Formats: sequence, C-alpha cells, structure tokens
Amino acid sequence: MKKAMSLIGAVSLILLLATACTSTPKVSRIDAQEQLDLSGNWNDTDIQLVTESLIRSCLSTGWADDFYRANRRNPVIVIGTIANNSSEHIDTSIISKKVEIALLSSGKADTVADIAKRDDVRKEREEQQYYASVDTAAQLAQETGADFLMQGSIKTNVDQVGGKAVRTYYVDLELIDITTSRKIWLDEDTVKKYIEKSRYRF
Amino acid sequence: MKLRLALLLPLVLTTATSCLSISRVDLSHVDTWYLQGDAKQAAVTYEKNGSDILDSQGRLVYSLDVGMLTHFAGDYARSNEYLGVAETLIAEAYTQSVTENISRFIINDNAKTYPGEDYEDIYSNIFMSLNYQALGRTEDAMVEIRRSSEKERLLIDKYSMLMEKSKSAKSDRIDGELQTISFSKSALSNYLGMLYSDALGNIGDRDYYRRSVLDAFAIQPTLYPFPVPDSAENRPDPEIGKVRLEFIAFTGMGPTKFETVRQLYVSKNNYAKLALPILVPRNGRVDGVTVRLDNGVQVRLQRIEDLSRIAQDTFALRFQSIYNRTVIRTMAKATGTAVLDTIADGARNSDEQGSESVAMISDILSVFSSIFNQTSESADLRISHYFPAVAWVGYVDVDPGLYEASFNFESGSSTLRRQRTRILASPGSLNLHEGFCPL
Repeated sequence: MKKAMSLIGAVSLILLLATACTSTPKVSRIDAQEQLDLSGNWNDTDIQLVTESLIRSCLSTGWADDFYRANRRNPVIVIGTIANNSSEHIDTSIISKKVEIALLSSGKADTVADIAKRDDVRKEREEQQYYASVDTAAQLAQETGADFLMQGSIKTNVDQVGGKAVRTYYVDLELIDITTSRKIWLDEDTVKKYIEKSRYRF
Repeated sequence: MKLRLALLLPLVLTTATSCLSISRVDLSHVDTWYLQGDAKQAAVTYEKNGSDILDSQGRLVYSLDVGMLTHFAGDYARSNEYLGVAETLIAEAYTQSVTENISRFIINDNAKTYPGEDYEDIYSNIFMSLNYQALGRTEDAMVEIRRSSEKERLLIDKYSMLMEKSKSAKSDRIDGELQTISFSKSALSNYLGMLYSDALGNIGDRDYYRRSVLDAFAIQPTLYPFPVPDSAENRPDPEIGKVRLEFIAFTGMGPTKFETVRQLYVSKNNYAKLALPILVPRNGRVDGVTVRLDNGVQVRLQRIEDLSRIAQDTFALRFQSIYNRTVIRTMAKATGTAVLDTIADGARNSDEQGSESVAMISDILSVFSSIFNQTSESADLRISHYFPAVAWVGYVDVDPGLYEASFNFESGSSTLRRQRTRILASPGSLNLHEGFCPL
C-alpha cells in the first residue's frame, strides 16, 4: 500500500513538472463582448463603451435630420483625426472607424474618404485616366465635398500612490460645419478605472 | 547525528555561496567601440555577449543597455522595443517575489530581480520620446513625455514615504544624516514637451512645458546649478520665411556603481561585513558643444540637464533603505557565528561527556558560518551602462534647405570630437537634430 502511494505520488510529481515545463502557449477563443482587463491600460472594452456612448449621443441630437430637411439630402462627413493627448499609445483610428461605420449604418449620414486615404483614391483615379477604358474610368473633379468634419481627442488623468491608481480617460468628439466652422455637435465620454497592483507574489 | 549535521551544513552553505549571483560584468570590449563613437558596433558587440550579460545583470539591465546603444546607433525602432521592455520590467518589479525577498535577507540584494533605478525609469521614456520623434511620430513622442511626467509625480510620493521611514528609523541613519531628495521635475523632459507641443500646435501645452522648464531650475537649484538655457528662457517665433533648427546633444557616460566595504565588530574576533553599493559619476571631458552649419552659422548649445547628478540624488534615499537592510542582515549573520562561538567555548569548558565533540562541531560550523558571511555579502552593483551624463540644447533660425552640419564637442579650447551630419531644414515640422559624444 505504502509502495503504491509512493508510486502515485512520484507519477503525479512528474506529470506536474511536465505540465509546468510545457512551452506551448495556451490560447482560447473568448466572446468579443467579454470584459477582460489585464494591465489596466486602454483596451477593447473601453473602445466599445466610449464609441457606443458617443455614437448614441451623435445620432440622437437631431442635427442630421435638420440638415436633411434643409437640403433634401444626407449630410456628408469627413472623419478627421482623433488626437491622442493621453499618456498611453492608443490607436485612435479604431474609434474613428467605429464611428464612421455607425454613421453610415444609421442611414442618416454619408462619409467620404478621410484625409489619410484620399491620396490613394486620387492616385487610383489618375491612373485610371491612362489605363482604364474611357467608359469605365472614374471622372476627374467629381469628388463629393464634405459638409462636416468630425474630430476629437483622448486625454488621461492619472492619480496614483504606490500600487494604487485611478486612471481617467476623457474622450471627446465634435462635428464642425466646414463652411461656417460652427460646432454643431460636441460630446465627451469618460472612462474611470481603479487599478491596484499587488505588492507581493510567490 | 551531530557529525552528519556538521558535514551537511557546510555543504549547504557552500552550495548557497556558489549559487550567489555576481553583479559585475566586463564591458570593456563594448566600451572601446562606444567611446570611439561607434554605437552601432558597440551594440553588435554587446548583443554577441548577450547570454553572459543576461546571466550576470538580468533582463532589465540588458534591455536598457541595448535600448540606449541602439538609440545612439540611430536604430530608433529597435531602441524603442528594448526600452519598452525595460519600462515593463520596471513596472513589474513593483510586485515583489516573497521567495526572492527571503533570499535577499539571507544572502544579499543580488538575490532579488533588479528593479531599476528611478532615473533609469524616467530617462527611458525621454529616450523613447526622442526615438518616436526621429521616426516622425511626434504625437507618440509626446505620450512618452506625459508618461515621464506621471512617473515624476509618483516619485514625489515614493520619496515622501521613504523620507518618513528614514525619519522613524532615526538611529539607523547613515552617519546620523537624514537623506533628502531634491528631484521632482526634469527640465529636459519638459523642454522636449515644449518642442513637441509646439510642433503639434498645442500652444497652451507648449507654454505650460516652457514654464515647467523654468520651474525645474528655480525649485531645484542643487540639481541645476547652471543658467537656464536661452532656448528655454527666450523663444521668440522665427522670422517669416525662416525655419527653426533645434539641437540636442548628449555627452559623457552616466554614473556607475562600486562596492564599498565596512566592518561592524560584534565581538573581538567576529565582525559583520557591510558591502554597500555607491553611485559614482564618471566625469566626462566635454565642457562645451557647438553646432556649425556650412553657411557659416554656428550655435553654442547650453547645458539643460546633468543626468548623473539626478541619478545620484534619487539614489541617495534608496541607499538609506539598502544600508538599513544590509545592517540587519549582516548583524544577524554575525550574531549566528557568535552564538556558535559561545556554544563551542561553553562545551570546551564543560566536563560533560561528549562536550568535546560538541565543541568541535560548533567550531567547524562557526568557521563555515564566518566563511558564508564573508562570501555571501556582496553589494548589488547592477546598473545600466549607457545613459549619458549631460544633455545640451540650443536652436538657430535658418532659411529652408539642406545643410551640412557638425556637432563639435569641446574641452577647453580644443575639439575632442566632431560629428558630421546632414540636416534638412523643412518648414512646418519640428527639425530636431541630435548629437552624441560619450567622452
């Protein structure tokens, strides 16, 4: 009996060591909506929260309907830059793209190629003048001019002592009438996080 | 049984002593290239000896060293990779290992993962910001400056707590002096913040950072015992049609650590060995930097930061806790030896049966205990090796165009080294150019 127990113990130990020494990373698929915070830094959950809130605000204020009534067409928006004025390296283009998708999907606004992508489009159109057939080549000087420019910024405020920190993100977006420079919509969303780092580990 | 113990304990002690990590490393082969100004070859040589350096210095020192060497070699993307790893390791070091801490209290400070010096943490961000700027990513450069500012604020709290601890441990103060810290704001970090904010068109931020540069000089006179650079104090906008060329230069090598040994006698023949690290600046020879353009224009750069001075200042308070910890550890070890000596003496003077063997065993253990105390005590000398000692700044307004320029690193009336570079003065962007001389 004693011998058998020792054997089981030894085998268990070997298995445990073998498992601990495995070098293949463990990967599992999780739901895209699942909230998972590892470092406390800006992550997909924050993007989701902020964009949902700002898009809701943007589409509910009625500026798009007002524009439609006055012009009998959807307003055209060019998505500008969302400046990263925070203390983290945040890819703000994810927010821009989510906002653009929501605006287009709502059917209340149209968008045109943003500043960064416009050069590619223009280059393609120019090349079509030489290489595409006359019937199919895109025409020059036919771009749709935007009525509004959307831009914004992300800022952070950090209050920390030792291993405890309160990190607040302020994300603002604004819609500017390109003709008059009047701001027709402006809102801000805030994400506040309390992060506590453990002082000791084994 | 006792004989077995007598044989076993020395074996354990010898094994423990042989496992002690040694924090010294010979980098002379790297330094040869580095001092010649060939950071690229220095980085290659350093990485060739990577495994030895990783073993003796750990991942943090390795990452900081490669990060700095690749920065000066102009490999900015790789530099950011390594400095980014270093920053993460410093942040992770906040969570301390219990087992490492126990080992540190039994053996020495080298048993613990190197957590980095505070100045290494702050200047990593500053050099990452320069890397991003060189890669044309001014917004990301500004992120690094904000991170550096956040760390400065955190340091103020950390120092306040350490100061309180020092006050309460009054009897343990080094030579009865209470260590104080002056550092709370880096003029260099704020100067770069001013340049980046200006380039991004954030005028409010630009003015804030400029005021912070002036504040850094005003509130920390012991760390900035030189005049505020004109380029921070007086910054009129460039004339219409002119382009501003901003210059930054780094000279010298940051401080290094040496071991100093003190003896605290517990009894007549038994003393505790105190092996402590001291931070020593490496005095550079460069005392002036001038940038000359091929159109005859020249600008004399001015000192904005003495990185070594800040490193020493921030190390001073940490040294207090290293000192206290070392005293407790070495005294405990020496007391253990003294107890064995007392047992041996008692047994020798006893008539009881078997007392002779007890005396012999105690003597043997005492000898091994003394050996362990002596060999196990060694100062933690881990530190990064390639941060510069001094930073210089200046600017000149020129017509747009391409210029041949040279950074002239001077000592008295002679030029120690000349670094030639080609500069494009382009309107509408930050034209920041960097020079480097480790002498």
